[in-house]
Amino acid sequence: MGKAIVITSGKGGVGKTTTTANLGTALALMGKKVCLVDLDIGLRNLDVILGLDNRILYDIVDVVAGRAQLRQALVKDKRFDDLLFLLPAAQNADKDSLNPDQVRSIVDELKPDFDYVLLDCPAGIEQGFMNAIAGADAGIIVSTPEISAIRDADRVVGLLEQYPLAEAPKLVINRIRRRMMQDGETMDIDEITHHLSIDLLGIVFDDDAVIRTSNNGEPIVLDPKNSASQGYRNIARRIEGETVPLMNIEQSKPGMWARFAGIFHRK
Amino acid sequence: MQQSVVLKASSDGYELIFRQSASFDDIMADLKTLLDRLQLDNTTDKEISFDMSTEGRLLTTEQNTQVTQLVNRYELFSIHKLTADVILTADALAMIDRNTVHLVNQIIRNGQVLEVNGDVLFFGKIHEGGVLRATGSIFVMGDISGSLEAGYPDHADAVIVSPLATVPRVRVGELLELVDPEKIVAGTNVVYINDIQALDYQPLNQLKRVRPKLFTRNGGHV
Repeated sequence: MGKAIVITSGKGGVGKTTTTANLGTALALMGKKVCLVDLDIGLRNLDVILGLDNRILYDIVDVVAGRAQLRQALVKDKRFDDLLFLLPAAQNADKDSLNPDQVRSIVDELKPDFDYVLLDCPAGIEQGFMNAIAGADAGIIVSTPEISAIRDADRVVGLLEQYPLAEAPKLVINRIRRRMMQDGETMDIDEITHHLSIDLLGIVFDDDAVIRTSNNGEPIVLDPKNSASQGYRNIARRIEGETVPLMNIEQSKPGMWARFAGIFHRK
Repeated sequence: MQQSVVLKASSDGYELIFRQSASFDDIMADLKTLLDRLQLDNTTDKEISFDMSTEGRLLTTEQNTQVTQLVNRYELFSIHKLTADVILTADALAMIDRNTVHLVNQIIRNGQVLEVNGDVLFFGKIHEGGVLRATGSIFVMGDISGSLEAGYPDHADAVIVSPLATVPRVRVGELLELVDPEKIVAGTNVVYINDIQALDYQPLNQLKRVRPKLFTRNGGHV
């Protein structure tokens, strides 16, 4: 029986969908069978980030409405044999097309066939959020080091205390700008974790390549050398129960030769 | 046979005791007989106000009305007070709740409102956007970045005892205001409603002067 994990944040634009796509891909790379469920009804884009947008026949609302079987709606990512699947959100339906019971029954149907079911939650704390947490066993709260995102994450942790999941929610701090954090311009990891008073699952550094690869429909986690990719891979390993040390936030200053090289490079 | 209603006279006046073992119908019949006789014996125009006790029995609202109506039929008689030796369990629990200092050690997060009946000794954390609301007073030993509301909704005697440097908003009774950094004192503040019905801030050592009753209630020593 697999585990259903909701990826949520409260605030929009902090990287829930990117995190869902990359964690799903990282877990598939580890040989786990994963189903990603996009619950952002009306504004789906998990499919775009995975490069699967041209392969959608049916969506989750079709399944709920009985227009398609669950198996028919699942989109297989061919890069990972039979390990990574996507249940897309509907594009032309409103958020009230789903209710928590329907999501719970879909997740319960998926869990026996997958190791992980990752639920991509829409921004906000209304119906879409309630739908997303209904079927989940565990939660990942994504926040950036910005005060507005942290404040919303705090609100969501409070809501998850009100509607508790089987496991306590864990925190992913995304889009960390190392220089700003080092210079004290943003709250640091310890401050954020201490403030929210929940366990830290992992950190992901901000990297232009995340946007670049997403634009090409390839999750960054496919590039093993990229630092954001390593962050996501570490999180996937921790989800699997491994003990992985936190990545070092300190950016080493370029050495003398590198600086020389930089001068010539600018010319 | 034992009387179901017993009349006792004391220096404070007359007391009527409704025997717990008797039925209510018997009590009403005996009470009527007793009052009739008293009226006959009463040769003066002096009004008599009774203290009534129902012992270990709680009268229903309807029974209460019946007793009151019966007594009111006699021009010179009235009820001073009608009491019982017992109260409902729910009322007793509510009373305990109201008179207990509740120890709270939890995080109140953004958007959450923790409502407490009675006084609170708070050890937890209130995050920005969280609210601790008590019908009684609030005493803080934790980290507060949210709002404190004591004496909610309108108990003007309540106080807030807390450092206020990071508290954005306080309310005592019906008065709500943004904490003015100019008004607060260093360290622990006592927030209370003063004689001119405004929120006032005093250092902790003024608490006893501001609200002496706090220390006589709750088993404290003056």
